Amino acid sequence: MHIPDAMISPATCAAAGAAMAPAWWYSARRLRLDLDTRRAPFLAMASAFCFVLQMFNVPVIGGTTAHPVGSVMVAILLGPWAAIMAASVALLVQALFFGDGGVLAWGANSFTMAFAMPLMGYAAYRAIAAGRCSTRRRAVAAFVAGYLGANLAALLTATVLGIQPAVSHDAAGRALYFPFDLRVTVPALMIPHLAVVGLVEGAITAFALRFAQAGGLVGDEGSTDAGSRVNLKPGWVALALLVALAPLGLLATGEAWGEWDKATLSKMAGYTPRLYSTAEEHGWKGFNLLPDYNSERGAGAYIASALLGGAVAVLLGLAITASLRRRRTPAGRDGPTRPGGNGPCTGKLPDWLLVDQGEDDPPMVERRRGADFVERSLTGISGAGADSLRLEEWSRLPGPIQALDPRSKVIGLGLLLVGCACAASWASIAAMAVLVLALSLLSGAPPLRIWARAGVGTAMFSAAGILPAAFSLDQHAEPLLVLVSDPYLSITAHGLSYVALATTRVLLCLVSVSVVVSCTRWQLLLRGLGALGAPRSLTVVLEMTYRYTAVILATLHEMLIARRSRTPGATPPGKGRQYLGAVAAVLIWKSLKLTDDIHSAMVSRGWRGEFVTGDRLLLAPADWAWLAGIGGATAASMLLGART
Amino acid sequence: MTAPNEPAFSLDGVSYAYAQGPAALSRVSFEIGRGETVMLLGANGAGKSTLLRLMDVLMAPTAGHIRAFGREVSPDLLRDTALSRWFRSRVGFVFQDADAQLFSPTVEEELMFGPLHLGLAADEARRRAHELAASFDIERLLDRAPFRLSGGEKRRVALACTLAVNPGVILMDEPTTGLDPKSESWLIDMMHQLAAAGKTIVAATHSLHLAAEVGDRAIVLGSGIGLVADGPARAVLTDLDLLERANLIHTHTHAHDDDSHAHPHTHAGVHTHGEDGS
Repeated sequence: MHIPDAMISPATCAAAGAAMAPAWWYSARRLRLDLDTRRAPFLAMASAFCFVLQMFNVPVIGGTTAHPVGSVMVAILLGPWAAIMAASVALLVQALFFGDGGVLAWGANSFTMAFAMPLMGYAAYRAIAAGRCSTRRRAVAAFVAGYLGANLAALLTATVLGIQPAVSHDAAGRALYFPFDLRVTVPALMIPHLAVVGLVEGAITAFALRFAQAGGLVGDEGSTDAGSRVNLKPGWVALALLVALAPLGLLATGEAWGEWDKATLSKMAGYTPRLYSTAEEHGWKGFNLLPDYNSERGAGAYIASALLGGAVAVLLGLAITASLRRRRTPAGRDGPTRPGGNGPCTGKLPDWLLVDQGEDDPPMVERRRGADFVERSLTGISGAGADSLRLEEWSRLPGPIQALDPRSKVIGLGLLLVGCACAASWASIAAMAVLVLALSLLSGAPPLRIWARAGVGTAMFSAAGILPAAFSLDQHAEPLLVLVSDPYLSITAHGLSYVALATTRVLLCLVSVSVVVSCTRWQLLLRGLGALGAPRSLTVVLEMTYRYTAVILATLHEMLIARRSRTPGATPPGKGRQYLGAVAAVLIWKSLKLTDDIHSAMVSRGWRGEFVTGDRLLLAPADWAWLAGIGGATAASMLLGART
Repeated sequence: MTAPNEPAFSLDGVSYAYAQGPAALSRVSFEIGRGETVMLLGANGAGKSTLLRLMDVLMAPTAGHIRAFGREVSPDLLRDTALSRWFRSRVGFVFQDADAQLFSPTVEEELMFGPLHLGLAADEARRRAHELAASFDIERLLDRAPFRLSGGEKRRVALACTLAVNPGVILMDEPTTGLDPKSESWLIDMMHQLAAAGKTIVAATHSLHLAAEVGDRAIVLGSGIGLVADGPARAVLTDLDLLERANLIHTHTHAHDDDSHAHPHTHAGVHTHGEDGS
C-alpha cells in the first residue's frame, strides 16, 4: 500500500501533505497534553511494531503482496492521536531507511494509513465496544475495526493512485505519473484487502488487544469478565461471515473485474487493465495462488480466491491462538514461578540420554533444501535490519556531505526529491541524474551499494505499477514490436519511453534519500527536523522508534537462527504458518515487556515527559553552497520539464 | 533537608502482588543505613527485582510504606517535580536488562540523559559524561549507539549513566549476570570503590560469589514468604542450612580425579572436601 516517490505527482504530494499538516499538528498537541509519562516509550514501541508488521508481506492473489499496517491496533490501545503519530513515524522511518514508500509521498501514505485508517478503526471499535462490555466483545470489535480500517486505507490508496492519469497528464492526455486509472487501481487493491489483508489486520488488532490486556498495559476498565478464558467462537463466525461477504463486496466495486470495455480504456491513456494483469503473469512472478483469477470466469474465481485468502487468514489466526495457549499452560501468567520449581536437581537423567548416538558417517550432500516462504520473509526482514544498521556506519565516514548541518541536509533532500519528481523530460532527468550521481560519489559511502539498494526498490515498485504500461492491446497504437497477434499484444514506443522515464525517476528519488540518510547520523537528522519546526513529540518518538526497531529486528533475527538450528529437514506443510504465528505472538509480548522496562529506566533517571538535549547547530558556508547547488538543479529540472 | 542520621531506606511492611497473581512480596521490613553495601539474595521469583523497583518508586506497593532518607516516597508523592528531582538525583538504578536501560541514540547522550533531566546545564552534563567515560574506559564508545555494543560494554555504560547524577544510593539488579570473569572483577572493584566513597549499594544477585566479595550485609528473600534472613554477609553465607532452604544452593556433584563428591555447594569462594564429601 506504500506509494513511492515520483509515482504520484508532486502536486498530489503537496495536497496530501497539506491535508495531513493539521492532523499532525493537532495530534502532536494532544499528545503533549496527555503524554502521561508511560506513553512516550509505548508510542515509540507501537510505532516500531507497526514498522515491523508492515514488513510482513502477506501473499495475495494476483502476484502482489500486501501487508498489515497496525495503526488500528495503536488507535485502540493508545488512542487515535497516538495512532496518527505512531503510524506516521513508522512510515517515515520506512521511507528514509528502507526506501519503502516515498519521502515526498509521506503525506499521502500517512493520510491513508496513519490518518483515515486509525480513525475509521477507532470509530468502529468505539461503536461496537461502547461502555461496559465483555472481553470477547472487545476482541470482536477490534477485529472488525482492523478489517474496516485496512479496507478504507486500501480504497484511499487506490483513489490517490487512480486519479493520477486525470490530474497529471501531458498535452496528448497521457499520464505523467501513475498510468492506470481508478477502474484498475480499485479492484487491484481492494480484492486482496477485502479477502486477505483486512482479515489479517483484524486478527492482529484483536490479538494485540488481548495481549495488552493480559500484560496489564491497558486498563481493562468496564470489562465484565476480565481474565477469564476468551471464547473465540463469535470471532470465527464473524470471520466466516466476512469471507462469505467479501465476494459480494468485489462484485459491488464495479463492472465486474476483467470485463471492461477495451476501447474506452485504450482511449483513456493507451493502456488497458488486462495488460496489467497479463504482464503481471508473465513478468512478475510472485505468490500467484490462482493464476487464472482474471480469466473470463469472472466472479466464480473471486469467490474461490476469497475463500482461499480467508483460509490463509484462519490458519494464521489458529497458529497465533495455539501459540498463546501453549504459553499459558505451564507457568500461568506473568507472576512468579510455582514454589518448588527451584528445588535441588536430583532427578535422574533418562537412560537414552546416557548412551551415545553411535558413529555414522556423515551423509553426502544430495539436495539442498530451498528456503520456504516463512524463512524467506524472516530472512528478508532481519537482513533489512542489518542493512539499515550498515547505513549508520557510513554516516560516520569523513565526507563533505557528512559534514553538512542537518538542517541544510533536510531542506536539501526535500529540494532534491522535488527536482527528481518534477523531471518530466529526458533532459531534466539527465540533469538530475548527474547531480544525484555526483552526490553518491561524494558521499564516501560505497556508491555501488547505494545504487544497487535503490535499484531493488525501484524494480519492486515498477514491476507491479509501471511496467505493464509498456504493453498495449490497442491495435491503433503504433507498435514497436507485436508480441502476439491474436489476441493482439504489442509493445509501444510511447509505452516503453514512459516506463523508462518513470522508472528512472523512482530510482533517482530512492538514491537521493539513500545518499542523504546514509550520510547523516539519525539523531542529527532528527535534530535538523526539530530545528525546522517538527513537533517535539514527533522527533522524540522517531528517535526511540529507530532504536526499538533495531531491538525488535535483532530479536527476530535470533528467533530465526534458533529455528534454523532446530529444523534440519524441510518444514512440514502448515508448520511454517504456525511458526509465523508464534513469531508474531512472541514479538508482541517482547515489545510490550520492553516498553515497560524502558519506561522505568527513563523515569528512574529523572525523565518527566519532556526531553532535554544539549546541542547547538551551526550553518557554515558549505551548507549555503549545498543548498544553492541543489536549489539551482531543482529549478532547472522544473524549467526543462515544463518546456518539453 | 534530610537529617544526616536518617537511614538511606526504611521499609515498613511492604507487600506487592501482581494483578491476578500470587504475592511477589509479603510484609517486608528492614532499614538500610547510609554507606552500607547490602546484597539482596533469593532464588528466581523470590521478588528481588520487584523489591528494587519498589525502592526506586517505579511501582507502588500494595501495602506498606517506603521512606528514603527519612522522607516517605511513593509514585503518587513523586508527581511533585521538586520531590521527584530530589529523589531521582539521590537514588540510581542499574537495570538487569541493559537493552532496556540504554535508550538514547549515542553513548554520550545516554550519559548526559540523567544530568540534563535533573536540571544540570548542558556543559556540565557533557563534562561529567566525558570524565565518566574516561574512568570507565568507554571513551571510544561515546559516539556509538548503545544497542550495538557488546554485552560487557553495555553493562559499563549502564552503570556509568546511572552514576552520572552522582546518586548516594545505587540499586543494582543482577549486576554480574552475563559478564565474563574479567568484566566481573572489574565490576567488583568498581563496587568496592563506590562503597569506599561512602555510597550505599543495594544489589540483587544470585551470585553468592559477588555477595561474599563485596557485601557487608545480606538479606535473603524466600518465594512468597518475604524476609528469610538478614544479617552480616559472612554469617548468612556460611549458614548452609539457611541457604538450602532459600533454594540458593543445592547438593552438587564434583569430580576429583577418579573420585566424585556430593556436597552442598555455595559457589561463594572456598569450599572444603572432607567431612561433607561422601
